[in-house]
Amino acid sequence: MSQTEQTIASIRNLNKSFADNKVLTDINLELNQSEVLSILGPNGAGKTTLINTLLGRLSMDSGEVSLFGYQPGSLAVKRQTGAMLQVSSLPDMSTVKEHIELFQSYYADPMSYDQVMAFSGLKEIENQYSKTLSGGQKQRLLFALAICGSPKLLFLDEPTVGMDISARKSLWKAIETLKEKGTSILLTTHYLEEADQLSDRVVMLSKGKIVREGTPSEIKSQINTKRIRFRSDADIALLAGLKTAERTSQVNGNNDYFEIETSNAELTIKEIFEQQIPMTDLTIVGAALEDAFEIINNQQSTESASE
Amino acid sequence: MNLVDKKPNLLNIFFLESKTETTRLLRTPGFSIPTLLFPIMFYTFFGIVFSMNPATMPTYLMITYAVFGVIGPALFSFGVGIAIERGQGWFDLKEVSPMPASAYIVSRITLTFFFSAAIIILLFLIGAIFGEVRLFRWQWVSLAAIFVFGSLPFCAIGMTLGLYLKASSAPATVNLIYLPMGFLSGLWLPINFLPEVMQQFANLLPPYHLAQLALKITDMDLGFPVFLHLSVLAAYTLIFVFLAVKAYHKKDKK
Amino acid sequence: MRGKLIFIVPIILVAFFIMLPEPNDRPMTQNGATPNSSSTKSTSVENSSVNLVNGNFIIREVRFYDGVNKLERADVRITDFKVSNVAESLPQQTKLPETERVPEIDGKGKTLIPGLIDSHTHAYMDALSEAINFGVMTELDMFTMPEFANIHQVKREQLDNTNSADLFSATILATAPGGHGTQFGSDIPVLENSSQVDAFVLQRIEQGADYIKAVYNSKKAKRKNFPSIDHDTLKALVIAAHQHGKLLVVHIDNLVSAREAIELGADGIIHSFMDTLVDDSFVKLMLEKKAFMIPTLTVQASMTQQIDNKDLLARDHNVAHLTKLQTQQLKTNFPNFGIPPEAFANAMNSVKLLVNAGVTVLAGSDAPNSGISHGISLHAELELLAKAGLSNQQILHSATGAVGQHFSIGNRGRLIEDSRATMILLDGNPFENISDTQKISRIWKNGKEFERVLKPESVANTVFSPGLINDFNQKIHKTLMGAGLGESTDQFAGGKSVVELALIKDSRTPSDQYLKVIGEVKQGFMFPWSGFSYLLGKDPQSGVDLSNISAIRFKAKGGSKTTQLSVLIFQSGSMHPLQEDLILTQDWQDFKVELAQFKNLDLTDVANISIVRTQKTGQFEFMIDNLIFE
Repeated sequence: MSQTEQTIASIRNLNKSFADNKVLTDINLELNQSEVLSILGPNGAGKTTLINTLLGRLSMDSGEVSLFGYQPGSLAVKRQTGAMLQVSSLPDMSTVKEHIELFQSYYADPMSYDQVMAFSGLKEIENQYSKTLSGGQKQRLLFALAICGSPKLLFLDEPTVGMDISARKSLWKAIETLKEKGTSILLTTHYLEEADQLSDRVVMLSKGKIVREGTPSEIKSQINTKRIRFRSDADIALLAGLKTAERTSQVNGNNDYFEIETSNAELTIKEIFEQQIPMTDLTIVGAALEDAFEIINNQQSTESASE
Repeated sequence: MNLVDKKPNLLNIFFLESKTETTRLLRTPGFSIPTLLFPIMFYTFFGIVFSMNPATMPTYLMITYAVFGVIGPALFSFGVGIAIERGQGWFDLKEVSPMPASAYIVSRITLTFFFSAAIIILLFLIGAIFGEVRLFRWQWVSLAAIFVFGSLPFCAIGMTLGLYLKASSAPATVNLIYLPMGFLSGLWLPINFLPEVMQQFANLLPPYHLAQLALKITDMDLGFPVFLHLSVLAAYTLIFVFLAVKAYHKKDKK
Repeated sequence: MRGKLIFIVPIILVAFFIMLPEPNDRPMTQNGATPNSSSTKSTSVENSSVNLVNGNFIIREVRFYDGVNKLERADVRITDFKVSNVAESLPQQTKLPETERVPEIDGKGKTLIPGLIDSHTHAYMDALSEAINFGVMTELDMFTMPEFANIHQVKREQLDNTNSADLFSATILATAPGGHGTQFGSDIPVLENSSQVDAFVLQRIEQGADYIKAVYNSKKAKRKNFPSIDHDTLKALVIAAHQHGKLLVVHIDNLVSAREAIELGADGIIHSFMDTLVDDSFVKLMLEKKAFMIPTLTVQASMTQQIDNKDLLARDHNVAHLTKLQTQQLKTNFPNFGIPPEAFANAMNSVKLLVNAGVTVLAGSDAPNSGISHGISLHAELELLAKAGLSNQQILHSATGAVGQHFSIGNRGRLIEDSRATMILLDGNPFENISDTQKISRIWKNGKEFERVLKPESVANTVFSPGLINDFNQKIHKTLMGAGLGESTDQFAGGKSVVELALIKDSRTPSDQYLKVIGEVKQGFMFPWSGFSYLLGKDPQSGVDLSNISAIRFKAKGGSKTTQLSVLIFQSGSMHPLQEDLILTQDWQDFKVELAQFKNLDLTDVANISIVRTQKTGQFEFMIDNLIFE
């Protein structure tokens, strides 16, 4: 972290439970200016609870949260914040334009309306009632409402759910642009590609705890899993039997194109050579985040199972 | 970081919020028209066409149906409106936005006042034209003021209901409260038509007290002191405002 | 857009509220909170040019009667149209600033009494404006159509109803089929037996009756002039009326009936009776039951030819305020029913005995009748009560404060604190000379001064055009003009003649029917008659304008014997018709009665044309067809 970067949000030792159920344990996080932080995790990991706590909607059992140096939920914070929450439907009988203009009025120095249109791509439907919007259009409107106030901090809870590819890509582009302009963005997602593409940093949340934190590449590199792909006429059972092979599969259902996942690629290659398994078209690739996540999850369960 | 140097224009927010709520309602004739027509139809029926005493009934019922008519928008706009927005998740979005909570309330109160004004104007017109109601100017104005401001306790009640009720059951529940409460308060037919026991019971109900206050303007009330009615209405307002604030500030909402 | 809205909306709202209609009169409020006093100041400024005083003023050094008590000298303060202070002396206004002072009226030598109440009238047409013109501010009507009563009953609650007396009414009286009250031609509901009473009383109340009036003659009474409801029916009436919180008053004309009525619980008897003097037991009964009597001595005096309106009509201050019709009315008399003058003395003395024992007597005139007119005749009644021996204070009480002790009329008849300032200022002292009640100096109704109308003219009568009255092809009673046709005999005046009307079809011309009148003129009344009457006006007392009519035409023929026929023309309020005799033959003849031949006939005011057999007793029959005005 360079010293010129400012810390926008700081979370220390955040603990939260609902009745007897502990949903967040010892969360420590920081969000800086011009930074995109993704919170990744399966359903029930506590992502929405974390966001709601940061937004001031939920109370904390213990810990300190400070946004811009203020308490979460205070008006001063809200005026610098935009949020995109999971909303099942909007009030029907206002137009897109009306919704945006209303939200803009809450802010002291909102973005220009045209800019909002540019970011959200809603210009064509600006006079349609929100009742008539498709799922993806609705998401874009919610995004527009989150950014229309020109906030310094943006919370996006599962922002691209229900969007098609092009809409998703537009949103990603918008997020990148906003980041360049100095906005800090905290987003939750279960789309791993999204976190990978957008984030400066990723936090992996599992069962209320942070299990990994770092840049996408750091995380990926923390996990030594590599994919070894090759063509061979060997039997898959033989390949699966390799000691260091963590997972063996056929690629695309081809009988002779295999993929072995392993955390120690060198040893696996050595084993293959020792077994004298013929290989052609050999490639070794670093794992995608997707894989890393699965593995980590498995590690978690193994750890907790042995506790 | 200096956050407080520039503040958004509060009046502008109030105006936009109110305008938004109102236009939304106007664009929903399925809701707005029945709310308007209900008291007017009933009044025309019982107060004019089948009036039992053409000398006094049109005036009396014009007043009680106006009370009935202004309570509706308050209960529905707050009670059902808020519950539904909570169910949508929209309420949460507004909560985390920098919208001041006061704007939310003011906009709905404005909506209620706007609706009340429409109902009052229509009832007054029907009463004056078809019911031969003749009142001194100070009476017309005083009645209108009592009706409009008398809807405030019901805004408070509606607010509490809206914050506690589930979205799916809110419309039914509010109706279940609104209609019987109106009838038992002597708004549909004069209170003296109800049996003695029920008349006593009406003392617990705020619409009864609002109606009695309004009836004092034309000297058609039962004769209880103004202070009594005002106290009951004030008490209801305070209690329900308190409950609403409590519900609103409760974190960990589901 | 927002800026414009802020201006447009309030302007629309203000316009709306200005547009909402106000009552023609001020709104009713129980404790009389009047709208802003600035409006009253403006009216007194308006009226200052005619020197009328309204709303806020002081009458100084006046003799004051509040309906019960008398003060020889008092200052009376009226504030906001109500009596606010009465004291022997109120502070002078000299210390007050100009803007707070109110007009003062000098009452030296004058008397201020509550507006008079006539406890027995029949109100229709101009009754209430005739009444107020003579200081009679409230009338208790004892039989009129609910349509008329309702209009004025609504008005009486309106404080701005200051040009007319207040009206309370029994609406339609309770009587037997063919009983007293049914002879006026209008189709009123009657009571055949006691089972119909509840519905009848309910109907009266729904039609706005303030109290219930019944006509009763006991089976045990010697005089039996009309069919009457029976004892059980009267009993049921008392119960039903009381159940609904209404008084029941009974019209009787003899002691026996009066006694029965009071025993059954009737609240009062209207008319005293002339057959005999009251006895001790009756007086005790009246006291015990706290019942009252409205003697209506005027009507009995008129019936016994003893009414002398000459004195009344000799006074300028009366004549100046009477309508032409009223003057005419006062000059007529009832036909002579043959009642001895001593009978009237019975009535008067009975009243004296009752009053001395402490029974309440209320003053009522039974206007309008022959010789009796609204307003002025109440003063005649007061004079008669004086002749009967009542003290002047008792008399004044009977026409003011006593009424409210029985009838629910609010504070009318009283001038106590917070009651409406409905009162009359008299030149003179009625406590010394009862006729001074006629010397009316000023009148206030509900605190607003009423300017007495000089030479008032009542509403012009409807003008009739020539045309068919009845061709008798469909109905007997219904005519194309006027109120209708009806049987008419001297039974109305106590005689015994009878008549029957029938429609006869001519076998030769079946669609052309004619009227057959068959009956018998019997002895009984001095001027017997039998036949039919054609009522021209809305009610028996109102007339129509026949200036455009030159003659009455009809076809007639007699029965087996040649018959003489009389055509009688009655002016309204008069019992002395103009007469034309005709001779009938057994064949149809065309008859034309020219109106111009009647020298004393005022064509603008004809009430009744009767075609009858008169003077000669015996059976008769005659036929009439195609009655036409030409």
